[in-house]
Amino acid sequence: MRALVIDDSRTMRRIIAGILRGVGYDIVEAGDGQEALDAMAAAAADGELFDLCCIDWNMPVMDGLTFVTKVREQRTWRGVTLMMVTTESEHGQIVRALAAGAHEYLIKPFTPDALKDKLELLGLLPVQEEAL
Amino acid sequence: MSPLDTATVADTEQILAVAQEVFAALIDDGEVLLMEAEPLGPVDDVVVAWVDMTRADSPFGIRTSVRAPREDAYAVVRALLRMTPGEEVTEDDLVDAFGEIANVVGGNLKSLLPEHAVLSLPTVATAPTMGDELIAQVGLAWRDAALTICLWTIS
Amino acid sequence: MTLTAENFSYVADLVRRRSAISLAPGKEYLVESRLLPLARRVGKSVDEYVVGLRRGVAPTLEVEMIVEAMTTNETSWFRDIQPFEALTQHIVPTLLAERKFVPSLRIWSAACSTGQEPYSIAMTLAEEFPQGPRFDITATDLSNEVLDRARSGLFTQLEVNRGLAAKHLVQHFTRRGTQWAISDDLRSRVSFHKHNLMDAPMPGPFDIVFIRNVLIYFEMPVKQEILRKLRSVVRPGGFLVLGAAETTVGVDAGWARVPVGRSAVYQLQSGRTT
Repeated sequence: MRALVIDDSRTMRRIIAGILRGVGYDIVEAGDGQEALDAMAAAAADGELFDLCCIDWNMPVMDGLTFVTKVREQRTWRGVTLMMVTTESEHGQIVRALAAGAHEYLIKPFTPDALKDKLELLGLLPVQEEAL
Repeated sequence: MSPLDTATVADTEQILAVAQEVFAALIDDGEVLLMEAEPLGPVDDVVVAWVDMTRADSPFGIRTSVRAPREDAYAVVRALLRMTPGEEVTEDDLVDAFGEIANVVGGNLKSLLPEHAVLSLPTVATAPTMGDELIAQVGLAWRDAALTICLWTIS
Repeated sequence: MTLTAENFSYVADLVRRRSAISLAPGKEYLVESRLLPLARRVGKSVDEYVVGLRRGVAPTLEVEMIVEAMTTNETSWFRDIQPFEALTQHIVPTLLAERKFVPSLRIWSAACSTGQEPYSIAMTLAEEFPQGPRFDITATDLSNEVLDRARSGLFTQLEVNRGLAAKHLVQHFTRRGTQWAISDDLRSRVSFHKHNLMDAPMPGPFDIVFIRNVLIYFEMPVKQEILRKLRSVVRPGGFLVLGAAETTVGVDAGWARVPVGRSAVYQLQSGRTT
């Protein structure tokens, strides 16, 4: 399974990547929406589209909402699951993201279990673990 | 933002609740280990991170700062980045990770404001920051570390 | 932080033997935090409390409380997902088909904790059967504290992050400060009551009983007694939903397993009311 982790914070990318790697994902990171689009195009060209994108909202150059909108414009990228991972937590913001085509929405701060719960909901959790 | 708009965030209980959720979720697997404590007095070697909330149509804003003695900031960063005991905390790690704490705390406080605001990128420094007026201050204890969150109006 | 490494190992060992859950080194603060209320009750520090435990023969109840304190996790929404799919795809359609007239469905959610299960049931029924039938949910737990929280319908951001799809969040919840409030409509469908499963059952008759991951804590005779009592308040042809790894087989013969995916769903056989 492959995931694209998009966040302008290196720390947050590291945290999310750590959790995803722990359940078997290969990770590519991007620091803004434009870098992420480039990574998507490169992956598509290699015939290795991502299964999942974890997307921060507020980023320089191109924000997460714009990234989602642009991805959803590409029919060949429809199989990629898009999940917002952001501190934006007003009801209206979540509605906007889902309306733009995001499949799921995880509010920061989140526990590792919360991220895995979302993966399970999306049918994207390859490895199950039981530990405290 | 007029002074009235700060009421939703300049609330010690709300700030504590947000900070507890941030530490519990990102560091302690959902466990709340962050408690209210005495705010920090002046400390020699301090690390401060802050974010500013502003609106395009207003000269006013709110600054959220998180400060801790350097050793305590390191402890938070080590835990946040799941570092092994031998691993060294680089200056980059400190700036990025401690800045992210301020970012997530500030971002959650921003969501409480009655009107939509914009959050700045975090700034990290080694001297305490200030704004026009201190509108809230919360002292915190996490494991053996001491932190203080301050809210200032800025213009 | 009072707990020594040795005493942490003792607790970790105890928990692992009783629950198969492992506490790796690094979780010392977790143990300290979870055992603090138990230690405070007897005026000790956590380490003193564990030392006291090791010295004497730890009474079973004390050990149970420690394991319970260490293994209690946040409840999640739509836990295990399958029972809710079973509700939509099999249980409710079966009930509607088997009876000519269903005025309303009565559901019991036992050991409901902070309310995620009964509210998840409410969300499922409201969304999948918008034309009816009417339903009401009786939710019970032992603790007044969790019942009060459940009644409030207020959940923290950490709680709504657990297993609740974003589309359900925006449809059924609004923000209140740092928390999220479930809609008044769904809140009105659930009534919360303090109840001990060892006592007489909640007054029925119920069409569906959810009693998930509770029976595992009881010895066989008690389990049998509880299931027998449930039979007396469930309508013939009514359903029982257990936790994923649970079964009535070998416990109570009054129920027949319903093959619905990997869910533990059972249907009450007519004629067995004792």
